[in-house]
Amino acid sequence: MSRIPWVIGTGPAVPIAAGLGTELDEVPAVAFDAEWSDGPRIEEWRSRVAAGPKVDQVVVAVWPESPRSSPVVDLDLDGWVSTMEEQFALWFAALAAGSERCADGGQVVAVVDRPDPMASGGWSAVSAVADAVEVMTRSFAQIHEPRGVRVNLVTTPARLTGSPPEELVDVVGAVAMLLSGGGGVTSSVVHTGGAGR
Amino acid sequence: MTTDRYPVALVTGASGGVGRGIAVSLGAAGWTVWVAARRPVEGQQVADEVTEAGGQGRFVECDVGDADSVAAAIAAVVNRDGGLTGVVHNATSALSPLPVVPLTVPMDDLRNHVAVSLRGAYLLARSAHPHLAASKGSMVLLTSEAGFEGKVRLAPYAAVKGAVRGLARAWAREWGRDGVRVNCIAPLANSPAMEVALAKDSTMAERVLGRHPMGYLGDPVDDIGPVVRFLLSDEAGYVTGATIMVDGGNRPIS
Repeated sequence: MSRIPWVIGTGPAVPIAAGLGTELDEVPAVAFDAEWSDGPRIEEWRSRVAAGPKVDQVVVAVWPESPRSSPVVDLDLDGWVSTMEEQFALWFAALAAGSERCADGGQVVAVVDRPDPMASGGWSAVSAVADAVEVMTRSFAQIHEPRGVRVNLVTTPARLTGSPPEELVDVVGAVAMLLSGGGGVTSSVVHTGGAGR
Repeated sequence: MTTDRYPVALVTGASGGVGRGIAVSLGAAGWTVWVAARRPVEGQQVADEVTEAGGQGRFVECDVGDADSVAAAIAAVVNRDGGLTGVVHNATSALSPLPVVPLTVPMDDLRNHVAVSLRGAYLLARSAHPHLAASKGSMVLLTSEAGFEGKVRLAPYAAVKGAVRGLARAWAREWGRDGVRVNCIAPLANSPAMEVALAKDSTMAERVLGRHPMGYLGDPVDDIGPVVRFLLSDEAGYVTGATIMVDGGNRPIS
């Protein structure tokens, strides 16, 4: 088994994979409609990925392209589906598959966009996804705890505030810390982005 | 609330369980309560209970995952009663209490969870906001202990309940200056859904009640409903963006 992390996610997460010294294994590009017509593609991907060889370290970063803020009253249904429902589905599938692929005693770290709660106005869809991923992390931590697998979460507001890419160095550092497995930490959340969070 | 004609609330998923308890509790305080649900017979029965409790009970058929249905329900309320002061989104997927394996849960099932809990909240927010702004009203979304701690067997349900808290936090900030408040409650109550969950999982009763400080599940009318009533009232006028645990102290977090 390899100690090089296996990073699965969407294109914008390439810097995370690069920062960890590996390449990104991309989740399928989908374009959800209100009926989730792309759902079967995700199911197929989830099954195929979960059946792959075990790895010691898994990083999951399902990041949408160019997240934008929008008050809910201005967010039409198509926008809601793409910014919230599609992301929710991809996250759930990716964390399920990634956790399954993790070897006994291994580490899973999710990395999600999350607005500063005090600046969350206009970011309700992104906030909802972040809170959902936090709870998914806790569910998968409990599910895989009997195998000694630890599942944790790193959050970052960097992409939402237009921070320079250099700020992702902090995110990579937090991920690396959790991947080290020290301290028996599981089902926990590390917020990056400064002391004000 | 700013009008002398109200209060008028719409409660989704109110044809039974916790939603019924909230509706009846509001009725007991004199509210006009619209029971919004897909089941007309059961929904009308709860509406009648609201009237018997001292309020005005009305039923409106509503599929909360359908934009036209939600818009029509809100329009029915406003056309009949002249405005809207409270919206309570209680409805959850019928799949909520059914154990799943996350790796194999069908996307159609996941979509059902999302459509009822999250798209429903979004559609209600969009349709209700102008009326709540006019009345300086309030919205209450139902989350759950599961929406904090996650669940081994109910991961989709837990995830949507977590997402609900993110919505409330953001909408409270978006709508605060309109005078509209948005809060969550996380109830732990005796309900048909809870009964199904307990029946499906022989260890759940011990997990839920084994360390419970008060040793019993809350009653939807007497224990859960009054907290929603408080959040919808002027007495909670400075409470927004909050999640109140209504769980008998079972999960000491906020």
